[in-house]
Order: sequence, then structure tokens, then C-alpha cells
Amino acid sequence: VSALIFWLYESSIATGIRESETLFPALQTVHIVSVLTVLGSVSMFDLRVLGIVLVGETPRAVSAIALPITRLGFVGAAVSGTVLFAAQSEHIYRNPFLLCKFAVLLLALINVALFHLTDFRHIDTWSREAAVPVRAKVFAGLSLGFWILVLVLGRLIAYFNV
Amino acid sequence: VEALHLLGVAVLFGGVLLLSLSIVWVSRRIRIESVIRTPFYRLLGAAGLIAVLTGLLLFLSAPAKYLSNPLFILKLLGLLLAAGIQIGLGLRLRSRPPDGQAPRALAVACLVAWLLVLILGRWVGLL
Repeated sequence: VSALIFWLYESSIATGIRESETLFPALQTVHIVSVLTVLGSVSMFDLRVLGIVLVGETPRAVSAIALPITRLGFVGAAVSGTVLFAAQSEHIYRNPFLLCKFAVLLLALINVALFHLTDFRHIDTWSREAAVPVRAKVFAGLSLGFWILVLVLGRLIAYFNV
Repeated sequence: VEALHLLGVAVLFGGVLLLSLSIVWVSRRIRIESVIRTPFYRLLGAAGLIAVLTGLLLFLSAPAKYLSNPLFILKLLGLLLAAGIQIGLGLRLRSRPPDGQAPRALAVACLVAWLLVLILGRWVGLL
């Protein structure tokens, strides 16, 4: 792992970003805005499934708007995050917050996959008044928790110096 | 204490984003008229409140530093602008259904203003 990280850290793109005075913060900005886009849209959908907000709309209608926004945000966050990691890899690859964040991110993605393979397939049947299945609400609650945790852990990475 | 502040800021940013997202929704085909005077609005209000309170705490931790930071001032102005457009949009939606170009333009302006605040917010810490 160390050799791989060393190679990544010394690669020309990573070094270029690290040594640029504007590129690195610019990428950070893209990353933060993207992450907030993900959390904002995900939380709207999750809260709808939980029956807390937007109850006048069907979960289907909310997902129709939220999901494309989430996807866009996620791609932005993943790309900018990968490049930022490469630029700082040697400093942060053992950062406990980063490792925790990756673990929780994985859990969040597994949660998404399971939800979309199961209850999400029947989202069209969740009409306005009908109660959403309990299992779907559990997925939504877990999703909310995982993504918030990812955000907090991501912020905390910067506060751990090796 | 710092970690607590950060948690607050996280919620802050989330809340701000929810606001702008809701505006995009209003401007899109699928209108969410059930937004106004519902728990949705209250949620956004609560998130906004948390954002302002934690932001205030952070500001108070080093007022002189922030006041001498031009980006911080710019961000505050951006915040005022965004909030102003947001309220204008809210009032407009309250009085009339969202038809025509005006609310759409307002919504886009609103989104851009909030994005600006987010971007400036990140750069405040870099000066």
C-alpha cells in the first residue's frame, strides 16, 4: 500500500495540484458543493419516505427530482475527492477519520444498493396516502444517518495531523 | 467545542442546500405547492436557524479576524442577497401560482446566490 501511495503522491497530476495555490482550494470547493448537493437531495428524499416533509407529494415524484441531483452531486464529489486524495495521499492515507469516512461511505452505498434492489422497485405503488413500508423507512433512516456521518467525518479529516 | 461548531456548520450547509434545491423544484415542471406552510418550510427554517447560530458562534471565536477578511464581508453580502431573493420568491409563490418566467428567473437567481455563499464560505477559511 505504501508503495502505491508513494507513486500516487509523486505522480505529476497529484504534485501539480498540491503545489498549485488555486487548484487545490478550487477542487475543495467543488468537493464541498458536490457533497452538500448529495446530502441535500438525499435528505429530502429520505425525509419524504419517512413521511416527515413533502407528504403532499408521492415518493416517486420526489425521487424524480432528487435522484438526478444526487447522481450529479455524487459524480462531482467522487471525481474531486479522488483527485484531492491523490494530491494529499501520503499525508492522509492513514488518517483515522478518512478511514472511518470510507467505511461509512461504503455502508451508505450498500444501503443505497439494497434499497434500490428491494423496496425502491415498488415506489410507484406508494400513493400519497398509503403508508410506505416499514422496511423502506428503515432504509431511509439508515441512509440519512450514514450520509450525515460521512459529511461530519469528512470535515474532521482536516483536524487530524499526522 | 470546535468539533461541535463543525457539526453545526455541516447542518448549516445541508440546510442551505435544501433551500436552494426546493427552489429548483418549484421552478421545475413538478411543482411542489405543498411546500408552503408545511413541515418542509419549518425544516428549512430550523436548518437556517442552526446555520446562523453556529455561524455566529464561529464568528465570535475570532471577530477581529473575520471582520478584516474581505471574503467574509463578501460572503455576508452574498448571504443577504440570497436570503432576500429567497424571501421575495416565497412571497411571490404565496400570492400567486408559479406561472410565467418571473418565478423561474427568481429561483435560478436564488440558487446562484446560495451557491456563491457556499463557495465564498469555503474560501473565507483560506485567507
